[in-house]
Amino acid sequence: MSNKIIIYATLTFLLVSFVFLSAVEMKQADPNTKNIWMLYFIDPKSASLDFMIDNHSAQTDFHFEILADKTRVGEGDISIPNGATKTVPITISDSANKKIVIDVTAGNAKKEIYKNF
Amino acid sequence: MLPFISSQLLFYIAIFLVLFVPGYFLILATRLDKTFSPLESFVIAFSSSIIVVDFLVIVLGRSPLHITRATILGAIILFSAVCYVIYFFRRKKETATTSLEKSDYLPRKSVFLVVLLLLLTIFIKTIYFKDTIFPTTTDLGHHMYWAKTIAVTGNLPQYEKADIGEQLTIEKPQPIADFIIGEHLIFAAIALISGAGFISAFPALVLFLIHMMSVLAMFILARAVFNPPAGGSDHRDTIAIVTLFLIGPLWALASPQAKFVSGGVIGNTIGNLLIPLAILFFVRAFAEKKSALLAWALFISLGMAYTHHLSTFVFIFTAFFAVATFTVLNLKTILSDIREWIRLFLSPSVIAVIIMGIIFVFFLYMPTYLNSKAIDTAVGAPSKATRTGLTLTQLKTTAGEARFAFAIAGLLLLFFAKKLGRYSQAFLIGWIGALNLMSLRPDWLFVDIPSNRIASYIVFPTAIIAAYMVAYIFTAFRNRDYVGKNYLSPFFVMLTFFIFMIFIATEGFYDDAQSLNSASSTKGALQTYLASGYLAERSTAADIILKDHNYLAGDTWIKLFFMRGYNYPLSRGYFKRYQDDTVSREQCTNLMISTPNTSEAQRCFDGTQTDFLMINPKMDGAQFNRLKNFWRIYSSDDVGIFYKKS
Repeated sequence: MSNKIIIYATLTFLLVSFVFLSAVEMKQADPNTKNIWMLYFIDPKSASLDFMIDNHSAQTDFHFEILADKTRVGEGDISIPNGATKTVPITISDSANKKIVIDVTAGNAKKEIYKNF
Repeated sequence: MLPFISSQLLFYIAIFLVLFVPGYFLILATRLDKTFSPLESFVIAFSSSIIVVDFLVIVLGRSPLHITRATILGAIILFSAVCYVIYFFRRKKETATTSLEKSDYLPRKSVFLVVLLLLLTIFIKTIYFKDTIFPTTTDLGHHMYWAKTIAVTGNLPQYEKADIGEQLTIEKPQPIADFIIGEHLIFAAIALISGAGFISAFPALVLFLIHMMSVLAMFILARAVFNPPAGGSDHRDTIAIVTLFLIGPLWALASPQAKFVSGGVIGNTIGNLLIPLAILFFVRAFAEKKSALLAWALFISLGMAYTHHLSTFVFIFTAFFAVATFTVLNLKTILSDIREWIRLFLSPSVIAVIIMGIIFVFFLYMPTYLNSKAIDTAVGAPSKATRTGLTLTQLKTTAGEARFAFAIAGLLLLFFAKKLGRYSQAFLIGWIGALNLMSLRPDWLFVDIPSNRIASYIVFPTAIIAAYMVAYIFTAFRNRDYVGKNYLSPFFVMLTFFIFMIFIATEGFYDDAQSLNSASSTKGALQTYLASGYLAERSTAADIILKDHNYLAGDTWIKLFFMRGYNYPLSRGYFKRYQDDTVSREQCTNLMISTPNTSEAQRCFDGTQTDFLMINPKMDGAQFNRLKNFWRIYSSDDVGIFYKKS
C-alpha cells in the first residue's frame, strides 16, 4: 500500500499544479490584462482607408488624425472600452500620389498606419 | 468559469486515455504486474502508453481510417480490450500466484520522505512554469506545428520544408530529418480527444507530466539497480531517496529539467524518461534471466527510436559501453554469459518484438533520421566548434558541480562494488562513461553532434551515482564493524556528512534561484499572435509572408495560424546564421527586412513574391517608413505589419 501513497500523492500534487498553471495561462492569454491596443486597416491590400482600433488597454479615449502628405485632412475622437474594437470609416476625396497616414493617440501612446498612393 | 472547468476535465480524461490506459492493459497482458511494484507499474504504464499510442496512431495514419478523435479512441479501446482478453486467459492458466516480496515496498518513513521530496520538486517547478506556461518558446512552436498538422489533416505528416533556392525563388519542399514522429503523435492524440487548442498550456503540461515521470523513473531505477539478486543491498532505499533529492528539488530547473519542458525540447524530455526505463529492463532481464523483460527492454528501445534520434544515439553508446565494461569486469564468465544472452534473445517474446520493429520500420513508417544524409551529419569527425567537445569545467557546470564531484568519486567506487549486481555495475559505469566521453572527446567516438546537447544527458547518471557515493559515505561509517575500529568519531562522520549535503543542497537550490529570474515574454508573444490572427484572416496561400525571429516574441508559433507549410511564413533567422562560412545560406530573408531598399533585396522580393512582412517596429520599422512601395497596415507596440505593393 505504501507505494500507492506515492502514486496518489504525485497525482494530487500534479493535479493542483496543472489547474493552477492552466488558470495562470488563461489569464496570461487574455489580452485585456496586458494594457495593449492595436491599430490596423480593415483591408490591407485595397485602397480602402477604413481602419480599426482594437483596445485591450486601460485607455478608453482615442484621438485620430488623418494626414495627407503631412497635411491634416481630418481628425476625430472615439471612445472604446477595454476589450472592444471599433471601426472608423474614412473617405478622402483626393489621395492620388499621396501618403495617407492615420495617427492615433491614447494618453501618451501613439501609433500610425499608412498607405502610399 | 464553466468553459475552463469543462476544458480541464476533457484534458485530464484525454491524458488518462492516452498516457495511462494502453500501457496499463499491456502490463496486465504481459503479466508485468507480478514482477513490478505498483509504483514501478505506474511509471511503466505511463511510458509504454506513449509508445503504444505512437504505434497505434502510425497504423491509423497508414490506414484508410485516418487519425481522428473516433479512430484514436477506438484504437485505444480495441488495444486495451485485446490486452485484457489475453490477461484474462493467462490469469486463468496460472496455477499459483506470486506476490512481491515485502522488501520491494518502501518503509513508511521512506514513503513520507519521498512524498515530501516530490511535493518540493513539483512546487519549485510550478513556480518556474508560472512565468513560462504561456506558449512562446521556439522549439515547442515548431513541434506543435507538426502535431497540429496531424490533428488537422488526419494523416501522418510529411516532414519537409520549402527553402529559398539559388534562383531566389521558393523551391519545392524537401524532406527534413530534424523531427521524429514520436515527438508529435501523443500531442495530436491528446488535442483531438480533449479538443484543446495547441496555443495553450496543454503542450507544456504534458511535457511537465512526462518530466515528472522521468524523475520517478530515476527513483525506481535507483531501487532496481542497487537491489542485486544476491543478497540485496541494505541501502537501496537510501540511494533511491538521495537520487530523488539530487534530481528532484535540486537543479530542478536547469537543463534538461524544467527548462527543457518550458523550452519544448520534446525528444529529450521523452528520451530522459525512456532511457532509465530501458536500462531498468535490460538490467533486470539479464540479471534475472527473463526473456519477457528483455522483450520489454527492446520495446522501450524501439519506442525511443521512434521518438528521439539523439536519445537513441546516446542509448546505443551507453549499451555499447555497458557491454564493454561487463566484458572487462567479467572476463572469466563472459563466454557463458554470451550463451545466456543468445538464449534470451532467441525467445519467442523477444523475436516477436523484433519482428514488430522490422514491420514498423520497413513497412509502416521509417523514422526520418534513418537516411544516409542524416546519419552522415551525426557520425564522423566533429565538423563545427560546438561539436568538438566541452571542457571539464563546462561539463561539471552542466552536471551540477557538487553532484558531479560525488559522481566521479562514485564512479571509481563502482569498479570495486563487489556486492552490486554485475549488470547494474556495467550499466552504471557504461552510462556515465559513455556520456563523459561523448561530451568531452567526441572525436574519439566519431560523434558529430553538438556537445552541449549530449552533455545534458549526463545529469541523470550523475545523480544516481552521486547518490550512491553519498549513501556509501553515510552508511559505511555507520557500519558497526567499522565504528568498532574507532577510526573516526561518529559525531565527526555525521558532521562531515551534513556538511557534504549542505554543500550539494546550496549549489542545487542556488541554481534553481538563478533560473527563476527569467523575464516573461508573454506580452510580446500575445501581440504576435493577435497580429498573426489578423493576417491569417486577410491573406491567402498566394501571399508570401516574411517574419523576424530576432525581435518578435513567440514567432515560431505564427505558422500555426496559417498552416500553410513548415516554412510559412519565411523567417529572418539569427544574424550569425547569415555569416556562417561553413555552409552557403540564402541571404534573402535577412536582406528583405534589414535592407529592403537595396537591389539585392528587390531581387529577393521579386523572386520569392514576398508581400507581407511582420517585424518589431522599434527595431526594424525605420527602413520601411522611408519606402513608397510599402504600406504600414498594422501597428501595435511590439509588432508591425507592412504590405508591399506589387
